Amino acid sequence: MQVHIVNHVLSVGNISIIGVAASSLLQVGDTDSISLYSIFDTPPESVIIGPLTPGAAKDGQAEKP
Amino acid sequence: MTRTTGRTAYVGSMILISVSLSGIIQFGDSMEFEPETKALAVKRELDHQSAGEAYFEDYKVFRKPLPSFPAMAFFDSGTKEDNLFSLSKTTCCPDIHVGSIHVVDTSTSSMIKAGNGGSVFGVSRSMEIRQFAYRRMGMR
Repeated sequence: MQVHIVNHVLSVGNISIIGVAASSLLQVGDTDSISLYSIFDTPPESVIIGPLTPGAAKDGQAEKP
Repeated sequence: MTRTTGRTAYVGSMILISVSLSGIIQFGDSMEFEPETKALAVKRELDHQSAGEAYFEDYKVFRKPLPSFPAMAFFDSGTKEDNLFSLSKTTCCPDIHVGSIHVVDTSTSSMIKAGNGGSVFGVSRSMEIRQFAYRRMGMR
């Protein structure tokens, strides 16, 4: 597969953005490659009710969601 | 080391309200940008002193390997004869014009850039949990 890109005139009047966050990018210009990964987790079982907190052991013995 | 040949960006004005938590504003070119965010939002009934500290290592989200993304190889700049996929560019107009940019918030390892870049590889891992103290119902 051969991809050929032709860049013609690019002129933008106004860009208005509320937020750029969590390893994201706003770029005016050219670039080679962009790979952005995002992993977000709020599971239903995120409400944990128990005598111990999951973050009790630093060595990661307690496996959590 | 390959040099990116890109267009010249002309930005009339840039209005930024807030840049925080390792956010970056850049005017000019860059080679590599690899932001990484780790966020663990814990809403707790007890404080850290009585409930213990929370660690990233305890949650899968922060250890999970990233899925492979083979499409990246397709877009390596330049044409290689032996490469099945090739990308070539013709630039008719060497400029990019933007009148004005207005951004309210730039945060958590993000970037606003006017210029050309080599490669961007960003990873954001976040988790939100709530923890309540344990109570035995109906027992004294």
